[in-house]
Amino acid sequence: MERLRTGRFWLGFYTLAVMAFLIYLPIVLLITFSFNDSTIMSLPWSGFTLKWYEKILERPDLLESLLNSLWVALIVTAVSLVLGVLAANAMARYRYRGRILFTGYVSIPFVMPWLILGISLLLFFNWVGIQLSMFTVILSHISFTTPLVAVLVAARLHQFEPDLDSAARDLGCNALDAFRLVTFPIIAPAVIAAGILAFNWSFDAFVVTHFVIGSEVTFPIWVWSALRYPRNLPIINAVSSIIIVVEMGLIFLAEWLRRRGGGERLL
Amino acid sequence: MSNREITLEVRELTKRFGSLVAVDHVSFEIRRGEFFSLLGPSGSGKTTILRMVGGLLTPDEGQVFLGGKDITFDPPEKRDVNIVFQNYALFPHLNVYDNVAFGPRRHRWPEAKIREEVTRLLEMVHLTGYEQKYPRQLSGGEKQRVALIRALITRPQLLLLDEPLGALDLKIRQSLQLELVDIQEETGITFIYVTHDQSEALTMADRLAVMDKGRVLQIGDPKTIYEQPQNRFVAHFIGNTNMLEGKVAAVEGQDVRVRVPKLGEFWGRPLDGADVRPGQSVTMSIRPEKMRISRQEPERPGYNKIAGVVEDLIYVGVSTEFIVRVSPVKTLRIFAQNISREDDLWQITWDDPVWVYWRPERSLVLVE
Ligand SMILES: Nc1ncnc2c1ncn2[C@@H]1O[C@H](COP(=O)(O)OP(=O)(O)OP(=O)(O)O)[C@@H](O)[C@H]1O
Ligand SMILES: [Mg+2]
Repeated sequence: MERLRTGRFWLGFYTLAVMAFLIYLPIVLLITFSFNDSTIMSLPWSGFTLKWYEKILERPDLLESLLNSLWVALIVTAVSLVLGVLAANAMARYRYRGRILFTGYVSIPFVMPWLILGISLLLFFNWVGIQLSMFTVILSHISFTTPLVAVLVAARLHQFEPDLDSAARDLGCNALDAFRLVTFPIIAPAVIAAGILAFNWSFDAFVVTHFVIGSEVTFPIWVWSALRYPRNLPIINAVSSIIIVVEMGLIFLAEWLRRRGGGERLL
Repeated sequence: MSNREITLEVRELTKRFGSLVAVDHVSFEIRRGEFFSLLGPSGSGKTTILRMVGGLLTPDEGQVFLGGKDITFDPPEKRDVNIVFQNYALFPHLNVYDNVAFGPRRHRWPEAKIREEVTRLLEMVHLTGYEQKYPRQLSGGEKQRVALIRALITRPQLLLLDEPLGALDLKIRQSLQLELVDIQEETGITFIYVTHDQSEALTMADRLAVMDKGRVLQIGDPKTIYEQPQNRFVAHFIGNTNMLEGKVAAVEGQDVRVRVPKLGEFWGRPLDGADVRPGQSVTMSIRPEKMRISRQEPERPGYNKIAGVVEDLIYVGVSTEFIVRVSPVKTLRIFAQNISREDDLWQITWDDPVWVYWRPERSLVLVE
């Protein structure tokens, strides 16, 4: 029995170690080499430098793509938060109608390959006759961040009794006050967490964006095209390092907010 | 009581969910200050009625009047009616004080008055000192009491309680039952108390409505419902009863002779005004405490009697419950007080041949 337990412990330990190695080592390497004074990403170490970080500012194409990704992600986050919260709220209240349809829609971003999603969105825009542009990028991102928000917020709502909204109405709130004073405070931690995740998903989106973007460039698209020239590599490293740090910070913030609100663990 | 004013009137109220008729043309009136109970098995439509009265559901047909005013389509916040929900529905992000103060704040009471009232009500339900606690830190009974005073504090004309004690264990239930009746008398607020526990309804309510499958089967005070159930369902659902099924053999004045296959013929009495004819199928309902048991054949002219064998007996202190087999497919249940001077009740034991007998007017003849 004791043997078995230590055996299990070591199995778990190795699994974690391997996963950490696979996930974190490349990130550590990437960040490390962003400070390396060489265009080649290999040892020996050629000395510490911040010049790749300075170079970021000298690349208007890079800056423009970052800016594009930022405002796209902001709009996508705002819209998908509103839609996702409404969807989750409606589903928590009307539990009998449209359940299956909703479940199907909400699982799209988790089960559908990005490639398929990208192709079908492209076909859809062609069919409707919408010119590809940042607008189509925003629409596409909203199509998969809204279910993400809805799932997270619905999970939070389901932890509580369905009658809370009714109780608020019963005690003298109109529909808006009931949402403002009861439903929203309860789902707020999940909403903030969902917003951060939606922002990340949109900011990161490459595959779908690749299909539906016009002549403009978002950051992931810029990276993809810049990779064709090896001399860009250190700059990509530098900018990626910044993004990694910011995103990790956001994710931890989201998780902290969720736990503080008594939610289920996300990670 | 009869000429007191009507607080709530519900007229032909109907609600359908798809093809299911959850509430089926229900009508009743509730007088001011009354403790009225809606009693019925799970799924009989009790909660649905409360939600329509409270404005959380719109009826498909029918009307709701509060204090004579038609409120059928008023939103919940405009109705002078509050609900204590089946699962309490306390706001998890607010402490006890803010939960109770929620209604008064919506009604723009001054904060000083709110403080005074919340403190007074918390004291009334023995929760002084709980102001800063959150719902997740409360026991079931404590949550129930917070939910009650939260709904009560604004003094609505009508309070709707949806199985408020359903989730609690017997001990707490019983003490809270008494507390609730006291509170109702003290505040004078009209209560509609939903339950599927018949003993709760019988002990607490001034009047009750027995429901099944969305319909109201009978409305009356506990004694009438118990002694004169209108039909088989009510007789069976309220208290214990023995049922004998047969056909009417003869009608003589008030009394009816019923032939029960394989058991014989028995005299019984239908409810006033019931139309009973020879040949009709009827059910006799006889309460266990109205039957007597003896080892000798009773010498009582006019009594109904039947021979059987004691299959089981359960001694419960003040009384003894006998299960007597009177045919291969039928047993009767008899409650006997343990004070009988006229009988040898004490000596009756398992497998004894016995006689069960009762007065004709004790067997109620039911048509439905
Ligand atoms: N929103 C709804 N959609 C569909 N059917 C419903 C809905 N609400 C209730 N029902 C159905 O209507 C019937 C009556 O339900 P209701 O909740 O009024 O019963 P109840 O008497 O309160 O039962 P319980 O004692 O279990 O609380 C049930 O068959 C229930 O399944
Ligand atoms: Mg119910």
